[in-house]
Amino acid sequence: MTLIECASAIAAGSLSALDATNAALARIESADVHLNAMVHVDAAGARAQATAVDEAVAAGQPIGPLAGVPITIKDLIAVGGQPLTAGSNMLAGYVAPRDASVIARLRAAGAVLLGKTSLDEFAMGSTNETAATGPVRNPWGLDRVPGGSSGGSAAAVAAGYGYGSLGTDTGGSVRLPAAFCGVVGLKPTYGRVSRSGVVAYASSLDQVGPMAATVRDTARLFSVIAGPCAADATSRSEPIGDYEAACELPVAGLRVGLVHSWLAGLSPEVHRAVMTTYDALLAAGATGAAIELPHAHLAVPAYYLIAMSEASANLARYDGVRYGHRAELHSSDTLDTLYARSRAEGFGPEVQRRIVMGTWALSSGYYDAYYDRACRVRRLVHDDLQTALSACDVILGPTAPSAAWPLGAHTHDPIAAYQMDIYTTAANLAGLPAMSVPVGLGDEGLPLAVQLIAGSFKETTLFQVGAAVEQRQERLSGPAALQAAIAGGQ
Amino acid sequence: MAWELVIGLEVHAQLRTESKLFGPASAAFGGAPNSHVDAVSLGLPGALPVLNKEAVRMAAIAGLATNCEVQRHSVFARKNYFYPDLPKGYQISQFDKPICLAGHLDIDAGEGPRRIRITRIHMEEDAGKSSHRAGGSYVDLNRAGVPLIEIVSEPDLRSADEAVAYLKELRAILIYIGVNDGNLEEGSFRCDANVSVRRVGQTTLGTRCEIKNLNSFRGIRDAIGYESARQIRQITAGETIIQQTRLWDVDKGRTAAMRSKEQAHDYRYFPDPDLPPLLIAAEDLTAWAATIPELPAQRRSRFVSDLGLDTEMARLLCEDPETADRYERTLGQDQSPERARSLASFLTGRLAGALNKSERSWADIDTAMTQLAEVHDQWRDGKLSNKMLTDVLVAAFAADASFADALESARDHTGLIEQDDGALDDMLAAIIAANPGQVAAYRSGKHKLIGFFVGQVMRQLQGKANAKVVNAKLKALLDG
Amino acid sequence: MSDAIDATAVADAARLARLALEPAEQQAMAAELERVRAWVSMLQAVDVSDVAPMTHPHEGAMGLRRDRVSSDLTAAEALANAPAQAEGHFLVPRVVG
Ligand SMILES: [Mg+2]
Ligand SMILES: [Zn+2]
Repeated sequence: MTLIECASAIAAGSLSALDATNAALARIESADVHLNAMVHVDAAGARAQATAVDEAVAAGQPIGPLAGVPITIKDLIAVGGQPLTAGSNMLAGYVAPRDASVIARLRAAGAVLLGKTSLDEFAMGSTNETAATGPVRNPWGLDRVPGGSSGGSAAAVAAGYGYGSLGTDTGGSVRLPAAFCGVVGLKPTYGRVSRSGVVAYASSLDQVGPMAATVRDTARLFSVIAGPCAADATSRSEPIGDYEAACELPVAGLRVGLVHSWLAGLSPEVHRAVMTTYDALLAAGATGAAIELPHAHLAVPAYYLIAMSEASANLARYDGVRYGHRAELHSSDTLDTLYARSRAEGFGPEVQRRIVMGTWALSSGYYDAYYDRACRVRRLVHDDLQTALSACDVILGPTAPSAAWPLGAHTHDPIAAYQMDIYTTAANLAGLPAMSVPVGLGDEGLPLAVQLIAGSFKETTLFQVGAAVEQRQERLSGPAALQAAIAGGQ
Repeated sequence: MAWELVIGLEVHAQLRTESKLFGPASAAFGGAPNSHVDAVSLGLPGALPVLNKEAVRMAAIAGLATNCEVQRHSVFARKNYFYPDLPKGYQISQFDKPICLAGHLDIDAGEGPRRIRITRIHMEEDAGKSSHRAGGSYVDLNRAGVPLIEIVSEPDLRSADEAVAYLKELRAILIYIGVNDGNLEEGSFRCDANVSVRRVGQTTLGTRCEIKNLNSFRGIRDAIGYESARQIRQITAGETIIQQTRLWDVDKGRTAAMRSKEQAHDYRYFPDPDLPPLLIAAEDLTAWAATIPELPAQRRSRFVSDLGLDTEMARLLCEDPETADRYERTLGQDQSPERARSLASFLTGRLAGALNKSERSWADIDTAMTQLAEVHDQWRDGKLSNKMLTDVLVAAFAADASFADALESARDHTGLIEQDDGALDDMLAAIIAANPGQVAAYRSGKHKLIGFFVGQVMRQLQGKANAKVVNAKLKALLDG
Repeated sequence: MSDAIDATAVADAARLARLALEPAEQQAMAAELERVRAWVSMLQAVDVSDVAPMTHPHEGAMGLRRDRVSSDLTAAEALANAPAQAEGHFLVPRVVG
């Protein structure tokens, strides 16, 4: 059953929200010992929300577009009254006082919130291996990473923990795990979705994005969370599209751009997947266009400098004064000891690396050559994409250079790990919407995906093309590796 | 050889908004600790700043009122440092693109008009408050995020008097345009001074020290005096001045250097990614400009030229708009220079004195201003003697009733001087007849003795006599 | 000035960032970050002298807020997550004034 089918069945009274919720909770119960995707499950709260929906349906009251649909939330997003850890020991024990704006929208739409999913610590990672609660495993291969930083969300959707999830995407953190786990993930246009109540990694790059099994399901979730928000000064008021309707539009006449330089470093199966998709879109009546992105190779270093610099300031609030981890102090310890020890104990190594690097890049003597220069290169990358998107409606390319790699493959080589974001960061730098769509399984039985990038606020185009890409795929059946593990009764 | 002081001032003025600069918590002074807070001022995970438009208006008109160029495009930056009363680990402040640039203020510290240039005005958020006690430092974030403007002058001031004149003028302007309450004690108007010295005739600047912790005009005057003397003494002794931040110690009456560790900052300013540029629409700026009332300088010169007040009185009345408004309201239609001057000194002298000694405030007596004007006029016309006036005011201030009622009944009770010339003439004649010795002494040149005769009259009339008339009549009788 | 990140550079940045790092950790991090720095230095090859820095994805005006007080969090909620508090205040080691 898809998210939309579930919502329809609940609205029609043929499925009880409580049954759907209990099924999702049972799935978490049986599967998460293998995946480690959840950091907090709110079974009682979820059941109460589901029961309320069932009562509303029974009473014939109007219900929202997600009424009774169980979903999960990346633990970077505040849910009022629930723990919010950002995947870090720094926030162990912290309880968020209020819902993030996107959560308020989900609640208003009737969604049932199952709990919080694991992530790379403070969203800093591409593999979900930096999570304080340990790595998440890929449902399609338990020795594989699920991708990051929204790895818990992607794994949860793939494993059937409800019907969708919210992740966040700063440099690919929704798209990469979606690709690795065989689900759909959208990074919306910057400013399309409120960041209020979402723990900031790099404010000028972060966007909350929906993840679900199908493009249409993703459109439903996105319709609920998209829109202006008075609590976010970077929020934008451009008109909202009809994203579900866009999934039904033919692609004939659309111009699909292919970035040739992006085809060089791909694994053969990903290369094949991109080309097959391209051909299929042309066969469906789209026209092709060759696209140049002359500065694309600079996107990743520019992205990392900007992200680390912004993060160094964004993470300064975690100081052990108002909330969060505080080191044990002796009576002789000073305030600086409180800060420096609390932060050294609370943050993991990758977060500390990025804070120090970002602090360095902003400090006097280095600002111009590193942070400021990265911001200038950002404009070059942005301008490249704008130029490209005047020659085509959507850019087609890979999401990741390969299928999911083994756990631990890159833990000792930060640059190799950073390079995994080579195809995703450009959209964040430019603020453009981008979507990862699964395109079947590769040689090792692991999901493959393509990425689509469209112009600002043209998410409708992504849904239109994404649905067309999806249409010619066989729907992925449940991940066999996870099924086997559950059956093995580990 | 003579020394010259070179002073530049950085004023932090709290904007009188209802809510904070970037969040919806109350910006009011006081409150139980940590009760005026929101997610933004607590720096909670995920909290985002959203700029208060009213604070923008206030900053913009502060710029217009100080002859600045208001920038249609300005940028907020993060100033990064750790301190317990700085919840986010950075202060949001305007850095290289502030909202106002290149203004000036004209001041007069007694040596003729001087133009003091204003470098810039930028917007920023205030920090919270830490109180340092035996058991630790106690942090209250009520104040964190309260909107401030920082007004930075060029180093154009040449004396402590000029610095104070500049600050008083700036304070008056901000109060007039309604953006600041001018309260130095509560810290809503505070100042740092950059002070250096050089030999007269020297064109380069000396090494400056920044003095912080100045919270009264007196303190500013004293601190500049102390610091400039210290620098001159050092230079004269062949020592060099180290650029540093120094704190004014009110109790010890001296400045002292902050520990050097606290000065080793690298604030790593960069544009706040949560806040896109602030763009001010031309229509907004025009509409805001129209909200600027008559400024203190204009009002002072009007008081001098139209009402005939002297400069000092005009300055006194115009220090804050309420006093000037009250004066004009009380003055009403009859604006003859003689009455205008008399009423001005009546308000600032006798009335202010009586008020000071009472439990009441100006606000309590504001509704009785028309009656007070009548009382003043009667006193000026000689229908109330000085003593009668004092009695009326004392009685009115002491009563529990509304001031207007109390004033009315005190005046009814006191009555007015009966101008019965016949009775008065008889009384004067009798007094002169009864004191031949004093009369002789007066006529031999001891003219001060007229006071003795006035006193006799006043005693008999229980103070209810027109002193001017009594004086004139006595003089005529004694001299004749 | 060489830009290379050494243990001293890490120590300086860690002090600014309030992260207690042992000397050995500073050494190790310096080695890692110097590799990152060398890698991002590919940006130095581009001529950006005519390119303005881009700090926000959209360069239009930001949303502003009406000046209205809305009671957001109570003092009790503000202090609910505090590691140490006293008399309604957040409590930290005494700052020497
Ligand atoms: Mg300053
Ligand atoms: Zn300031």
